[in-house]
Amino acid sequence: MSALAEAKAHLAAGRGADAARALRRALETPLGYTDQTAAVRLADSLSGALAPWRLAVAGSSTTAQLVPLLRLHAWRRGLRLEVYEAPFGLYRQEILDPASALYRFAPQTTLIFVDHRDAEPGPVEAEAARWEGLWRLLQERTRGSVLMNNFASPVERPLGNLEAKVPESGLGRLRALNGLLAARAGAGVALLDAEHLSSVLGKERWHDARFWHHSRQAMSFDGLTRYAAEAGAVLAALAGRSRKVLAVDLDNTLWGGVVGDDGAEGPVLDGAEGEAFVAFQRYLKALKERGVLLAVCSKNEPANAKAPFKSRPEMALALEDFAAFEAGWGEKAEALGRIASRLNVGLDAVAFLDDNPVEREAVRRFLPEVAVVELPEDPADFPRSLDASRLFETVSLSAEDAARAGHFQAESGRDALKASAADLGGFLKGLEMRAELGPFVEADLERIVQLFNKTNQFNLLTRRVSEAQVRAWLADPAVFTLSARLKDRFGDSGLVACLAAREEGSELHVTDWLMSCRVFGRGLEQLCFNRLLAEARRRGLEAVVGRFEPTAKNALVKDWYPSLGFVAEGPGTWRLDVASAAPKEVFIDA
Amino acid sequence: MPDAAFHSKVESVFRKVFDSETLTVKDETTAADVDGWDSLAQVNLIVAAEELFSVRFTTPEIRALKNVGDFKALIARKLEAR
Repeated sequence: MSALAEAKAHLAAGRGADAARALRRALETPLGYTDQTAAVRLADSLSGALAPWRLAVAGSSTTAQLVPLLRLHAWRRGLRLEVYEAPFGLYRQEILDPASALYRFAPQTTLIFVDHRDAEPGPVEAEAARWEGLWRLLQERTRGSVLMNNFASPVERPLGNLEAKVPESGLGRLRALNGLLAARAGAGVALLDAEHLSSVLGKERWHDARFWHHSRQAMSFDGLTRYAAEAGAVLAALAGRSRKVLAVDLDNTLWGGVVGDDGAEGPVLDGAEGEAFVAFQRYLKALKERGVLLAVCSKNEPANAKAPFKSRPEMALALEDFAAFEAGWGEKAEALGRIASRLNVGLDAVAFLDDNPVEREAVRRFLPEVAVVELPEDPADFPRSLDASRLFETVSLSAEDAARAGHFQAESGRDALKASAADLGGFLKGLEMRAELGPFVEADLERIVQLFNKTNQFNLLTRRVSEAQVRAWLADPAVFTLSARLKDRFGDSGLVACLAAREEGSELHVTDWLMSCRVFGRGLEQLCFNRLLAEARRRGLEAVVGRFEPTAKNALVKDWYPSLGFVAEGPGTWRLDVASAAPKEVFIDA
Repeated sequence: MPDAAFHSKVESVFRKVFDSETLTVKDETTAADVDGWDSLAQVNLIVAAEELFSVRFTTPEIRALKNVGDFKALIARKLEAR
């Protein structure tokens, strides 16, 4: 029975969790268009509990087949899409008209679904500016993000190979236009690389003129499923749901053979097979360098598991590349739980990679939040399979992302220190922490918006924001903003906390308060409180008012306000009398 | 392929597209006879048949389909031509 048929049978018998697991497995293998439409029906029945995301689809061609596929691939990433579909072909009118139904829908993301036929003749600079104008309008009016594909050049080239050389040719223009769109798409505008996607599938399969003539389908149905899968991954990134940690098995995943059986010199790392494993290690290293945290999750004696990293020069990955190392004989589901808690992330930020299908299925069963990657039999295909999972899709790279792997290495050192410090104050002093606090500034906006949109645990109100929204606060004297950077003897954590409050009458109302969990419990949160209190005093206000909005993930801070001396004023609302409040003791130089 | 087997394979295309394990079609069945057989379903039927039988229809063939019998004859012609 195919995984899809299994999912259907489970659902018919009312076994939702089993159906979801089988459907996830089905989606890990290439599914044709017809099977995907069947999968859509299953996903629609299983999406009730997921986080909603409002998506407007504004297309120049038929979008009726695309929208269900988008729901399927968003489901796969943990999102329940609520979709507004603009009328056929009216993408431009809907974006230009401030009173359109698109704006009334108030999308969090707007997908502009266009194709190479929409690139108008004339200078490409003007054409790029026209698209940018549409993005800006959408950003201003929806305060949400924009997702648009670039242009997949067609198969046919009237000028032949000369098209690669002549800027005015069809291919020359599309290539230049794609370059200009990339340069103009700033923060809040994500590009779906249809040009790359069509090359991967093969342009002869991507473009299908028959269905264009028949019913204005911009691409083949194979192409459409690829497009929807890719859009699902980018939407997950925009919604802050991409994976942050990749936990990998060792034997027959990072090297050939079983180190516990064969000894440190046993693992196959040379010859054609060994080279394939080393090439996969290089791909993992590239993921680590762009900010994905690597962890080992292996059933092995710890000493055996570490031996090849120390003794084998062929290894592309070193022990220092891993932010966590779990080797032992317990269940992998438990080891993954320890990895997640050590790295301060939820299980829904973790992906798991193992050549053993039994381990994969066990993790799927016991930890449904963890993303499990299907690995093919041949290690030469491992990089492609992992890459195709698009689990680590990101919409921007900040300096913090690139440095993050380094932070967590330092974090492991801090844990060791925590165990040895007799009292908390002594431990905190021993960290030699230094913080920089100040109002939000333009140069930090990208990082600030990123932090707002992906922080789940230490987040009192979990309000997601756009860059334009935050920028407006900078000029508003009623708004107090505070961001904080933290350093200690192990490393620089970067910008990790944000607070915003608005003066209302004689009170200062906290509208946003969030902090990266990596630095929780070290006093930075109390330091932010001290600054908030000082600001209320400076403005001559009587009280600070805070609210707590519960979510599935922020139970950590449900008693945050009372712990600071705030008094309950109503359901979820807390008030602090400025005159009688005192700042908290902290061990951070600021 | 015997007629009955071929018919049920074509029928399976309809069952997949209309998500019904019990749907039956006859040669005379047209879009008007099946709930949900609209222009969107028409495209889905064509793609499903192309996937299942590994055939490729031409633009005029796609346009000319009127009933299940036409559809079967067309697929049979494609299979014979291979």
